[in-house]
Amino acid sequence: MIAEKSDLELLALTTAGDRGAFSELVLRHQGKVLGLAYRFSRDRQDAEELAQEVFFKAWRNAGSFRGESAFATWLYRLAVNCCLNNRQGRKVRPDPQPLAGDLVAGTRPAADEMIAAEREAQLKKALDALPARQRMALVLASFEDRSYEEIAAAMEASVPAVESLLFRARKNLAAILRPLKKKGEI
Amino acid sequence: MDRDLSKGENMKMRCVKARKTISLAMDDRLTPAARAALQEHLQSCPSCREWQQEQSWLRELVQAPRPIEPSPGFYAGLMAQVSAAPRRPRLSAFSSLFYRPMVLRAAMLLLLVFSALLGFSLSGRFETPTVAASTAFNQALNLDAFADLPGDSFGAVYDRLLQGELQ
Repeated sequence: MIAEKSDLELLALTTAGDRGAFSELVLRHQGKVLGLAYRFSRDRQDAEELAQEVFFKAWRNAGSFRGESAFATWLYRLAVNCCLNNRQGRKVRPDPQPLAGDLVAGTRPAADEMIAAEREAQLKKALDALPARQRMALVLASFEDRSYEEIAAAMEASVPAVESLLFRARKNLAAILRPLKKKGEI
Repeated sequence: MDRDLSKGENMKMRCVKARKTISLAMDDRLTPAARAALQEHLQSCPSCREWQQEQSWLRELVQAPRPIEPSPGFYAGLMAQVSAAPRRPRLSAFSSLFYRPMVLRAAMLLLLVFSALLGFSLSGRFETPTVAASTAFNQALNLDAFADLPGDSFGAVYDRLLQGELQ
């Protein structure tokens, strides 16, 4: 049974062109990859496109996996890189999908939903304004509960660099959102 | 790597450093001593206290979105991409060895050392050509053919020109 095979066994089959093995790998890891992409982009469509890109790259580069880390670690690093690289050339859609529905679906009255959606749009705008690496460090530390050492490994940086990225991310985010708070818009 | 700010610098701790420390504290990266030092600074610095409160507000505000499930088209879209794209040829174990930076660097260094050694070993041979070697060289290029030419022939004049006898 293919479901009983380890990630490395599935990867070996994938490298040989076995799409069934690749599908099993996707099923096993899509939650983490899609979750990271969603927490980073805060947009369902962007997240799905990013996750597809990650798995597509994994399919194409399966043969280059050297086994120096677990497959999940390799894939996670690939996901971080895809998010960071994709951010540079990403087209801004005029009407990004609001996140509030995903946060509070069916639990609030319509007016509250609108307020939450508006606040989420402001938040997304503020996070979009952060440099990609600062944003990624913040996502990994705050939403993915990764240690600084894990973040450093995933982002190919040193631990002091991660400390610096997080400090600057928090400082910049505060500077962006402070005026909105004073105006009562958030 | 936790930060220890307790080395007698509590009162001197500047606000920039304190705010960096607040950021570390938010991720539980401080030792108890460093945390105590930060608290001491915060008690005497309203500006940093305000900054800390603002960061707490931000943490409450910027929540992680709820996890999502992939849409029905996610898997189909991915497999369509996989089917459409040609697979990258897999490298054999031998050829993939040469895509490793360290192996490439070692190979380049070996090539350099080998070239240098070859150069040194060959340079000695051509340093002082023997008479026999010069004769063999002239014969190989048929340069002795000029020796039998009449003195006023074009070939002889050209030979003297080559030898530097004519200006």
